[in-house]
Amino acid sequence: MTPELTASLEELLTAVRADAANLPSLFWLRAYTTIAMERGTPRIRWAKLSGFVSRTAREFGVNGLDHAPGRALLTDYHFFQAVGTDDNIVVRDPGQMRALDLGRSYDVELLPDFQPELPALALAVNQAWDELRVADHADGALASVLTRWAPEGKSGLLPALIQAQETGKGWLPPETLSQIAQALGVPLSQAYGVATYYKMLYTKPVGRKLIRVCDDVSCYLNGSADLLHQLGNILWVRGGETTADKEYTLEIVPCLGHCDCAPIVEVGSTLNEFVQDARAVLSAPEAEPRGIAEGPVLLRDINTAHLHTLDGYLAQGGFAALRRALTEMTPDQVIAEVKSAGLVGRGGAAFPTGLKWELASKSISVLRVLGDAEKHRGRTYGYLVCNADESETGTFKDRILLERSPFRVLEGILLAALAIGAEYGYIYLRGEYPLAYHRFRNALEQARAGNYVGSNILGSNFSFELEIRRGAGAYECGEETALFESIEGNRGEPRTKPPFPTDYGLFGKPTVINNVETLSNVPFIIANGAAAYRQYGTEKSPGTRLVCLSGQVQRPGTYEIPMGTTLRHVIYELGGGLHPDRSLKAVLVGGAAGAFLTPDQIDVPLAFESLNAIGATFGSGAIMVFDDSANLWGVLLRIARFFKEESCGKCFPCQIGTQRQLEMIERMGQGKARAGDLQLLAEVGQVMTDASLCGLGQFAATAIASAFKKNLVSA
Amino acid sequence: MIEVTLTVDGESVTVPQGTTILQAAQRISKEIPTICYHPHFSPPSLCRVCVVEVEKSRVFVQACSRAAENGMVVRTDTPRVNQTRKLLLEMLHSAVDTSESPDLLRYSKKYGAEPDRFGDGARREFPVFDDNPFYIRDYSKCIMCWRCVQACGEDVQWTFAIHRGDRGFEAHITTFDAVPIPESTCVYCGNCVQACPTGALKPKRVIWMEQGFDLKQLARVSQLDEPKKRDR
Repeated sequence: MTPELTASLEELLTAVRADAANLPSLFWLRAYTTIAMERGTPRIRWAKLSGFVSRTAREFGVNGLDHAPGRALLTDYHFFQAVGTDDNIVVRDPGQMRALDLGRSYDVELLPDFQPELPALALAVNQAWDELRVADHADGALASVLTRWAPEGKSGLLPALIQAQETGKGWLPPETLSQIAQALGVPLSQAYGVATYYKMLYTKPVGRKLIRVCDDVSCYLNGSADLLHQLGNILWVRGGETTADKEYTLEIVPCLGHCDCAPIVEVGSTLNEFVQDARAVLSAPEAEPRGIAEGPVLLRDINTAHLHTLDGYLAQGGFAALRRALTEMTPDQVIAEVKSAGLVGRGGAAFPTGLKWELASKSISVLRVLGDAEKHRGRTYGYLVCNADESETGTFKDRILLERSPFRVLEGILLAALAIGAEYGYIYLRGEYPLAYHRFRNALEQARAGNYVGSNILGSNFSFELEIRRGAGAYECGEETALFESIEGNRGEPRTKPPFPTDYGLFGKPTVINNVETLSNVPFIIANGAAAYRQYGTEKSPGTRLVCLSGQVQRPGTYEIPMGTTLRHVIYELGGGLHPDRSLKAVLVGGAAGAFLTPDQIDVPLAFESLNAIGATFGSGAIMVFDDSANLWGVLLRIARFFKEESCGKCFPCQIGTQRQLEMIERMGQGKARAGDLQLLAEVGQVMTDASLCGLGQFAATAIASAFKKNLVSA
Repeated sequence: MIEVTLTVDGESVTVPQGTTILQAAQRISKEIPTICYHPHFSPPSLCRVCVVEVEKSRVFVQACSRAAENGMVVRTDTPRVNQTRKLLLEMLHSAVDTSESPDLLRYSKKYGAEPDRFGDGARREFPVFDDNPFYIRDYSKCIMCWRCVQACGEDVQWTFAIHRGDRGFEAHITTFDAVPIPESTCVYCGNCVQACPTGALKPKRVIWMEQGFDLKQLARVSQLDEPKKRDR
């Protein structure tokens, strides 16, 4: 090799020898040389390289999913240049490399002078890799997990468990749990209690790849049973079992939030949509996500404007609201504008957003007067939390926003933090949304590089830092206080209210927690004013909202509708109506925690006041359509099973009630109802509704009760 | 001292600010049933048996941890509240062996709970864990009231030998990796055993008495086995 290339390689190897945390960079280089040699070309698409790295990294105990090592390989060492695939512009200056928007499409290639030496480089890299990779990969990976999360203490427990599992053996042996617990200062039994609470954490061995088949309502209506049958034939295992060669573990899971593309099979961290052939899914991973998303404001041009890239977002007027808020408004004026717009929460509870911000702002102001010692860990007097744990059956709108316009979510977060006086925040993102995680994380890195996040944002005296926390398979962690518990490193069990989060929230500090869609609405309101927001919708329900249409319709998808649009319009005009020769039987509005509407009710305008008038609510915005071929007992069974599996187990009514409800629905669905079952089911439902500690239990019986009340089923 | 005045079942009572509804009711000798509540632990408010109706509240309110507020109007024995208590007791009987929980049995009489209403649904069934010299763990009797975890943890002992594992109906009490008690951090203080309201945790000496052993006989036998101890 030439002296220059040798020097570049030596620089990298020195860094790796000095600190094992640099090992992933060597791994990326090895990945590059491997693919380049296989294909006989030095030019490799960055996305292909990322995919290869994330698929093979786990075998070597390397956290290859981390973009930073790959990026460091481009920016800190002298090997590569990057070429934009759409504009063919070549970037090789280190400063420009650092500002590369990896959300766009790039090819990477060795610098031209180095290209003739690719074979020699590949040989040298492989030799170095054999010499330097940690003998027990799991140990090396675990060491970096502990280094990263020990400073957080107990709050780092869930992220540490997730990362240790991903970069280790795919499950959490007792030794690993023990080391994490000790490093973080968490009692062993508590660490074990947390690990066993989350369904995506495994304390027993699992196959190298997890196959998750969704069997919840929409996937059930669209062929999940057939997929399970196919997989049963190919793999020869049932749900929960691992194949003999330890390659696959099959899991049957509740709603994965991809009902717009039902039926779904997840293999590893790849979501396969509209699956007909299970075998094809096992061998070839899925391409781009395909769900339909249409609408005038939040979803404007969402599929064409590259809103997941900083350039694309800026071109659509992105961050204009933030600039306006920083230069022309006070925080109180920001709150007033949001109050005046009449924005209410889009997670399901529909609490007035401006009011929530105002309450928190007051609590935070009080602490600020008391002085610095009131800051939590020296970071902030109060927190802004974005609830991105969308897990309600039939709901996927937040996923669409996070995947396709993450910068807008981020701008909403920044505006909320600015308004209430928070200097630190978290976004708690559902563990089953890998693409949303990567897109949002990329957006956050870009935003940090562009000074939209961090200290003195855009030259102002507003500073804000955001941390991404991933969930690990628990619907209950979408409940605001359970979410706080999860971030704090506990089991996702809810707290009693009062006190409310604006007084006592995350880490006991005043906290505003808002839904993804709620926050996504804020930039428009601040940039254009409350009146502009109110031009859509009705007097009592201003603005637009996203609804998630799925089930037995021609065009399932995410639709942004002005409030007051009728349900009929959503199903027949936007959703393309039912399948040929089918007639409408029922519509479930609000997901598993919602209520059934009958065909005579579909002219209801979708607004809070008109839905309330017929005893229904938006809930999460899920709209699931059932035609005359739907087996509603199968639907009720899945609703009952969903709540039984997701109940956290803290309070008695829900812990036992969801179990008994499921048993009774099972009996009734099989035609084996006992005398008194209907009465007992109603009573159990009533206890859960009246006495449960949180919304999960309080709404666990609602859909089922409405099905009986409307005679959609009879026992 | 700031005081608040509230009404409980039509009767007025004035208490220091911060007093819970439960404590306020106790002052005027009104019994509100409780299961998970223990005066020495921070209330987890999870059994929901102490819920009461509070005027202007959308949901029932747990008396054990909700602070009394000025002007609060509380009803502790409305039909809906009593129905809630009856159902909760029936659900407990259907899932757990409640034969040795005197409070549960007493409440069941008072609220007319019918133990067999749920027939043969899933129950908590565990083998008895007899893995240490001092106490047994019979989780078929465990109602998941959290008291043992609290006693072992931050409310009393700070030993953290046990915690909750899994979730939902299958949630249960466990040591780290379900190891036997001697391999955990348990220091055999007995606080958990004392706190358990259902007999799920029982001292070995009680078991032996129940089985008819003469404890003095047992002690003599063990002394004969280890004479060296007596020679010290």
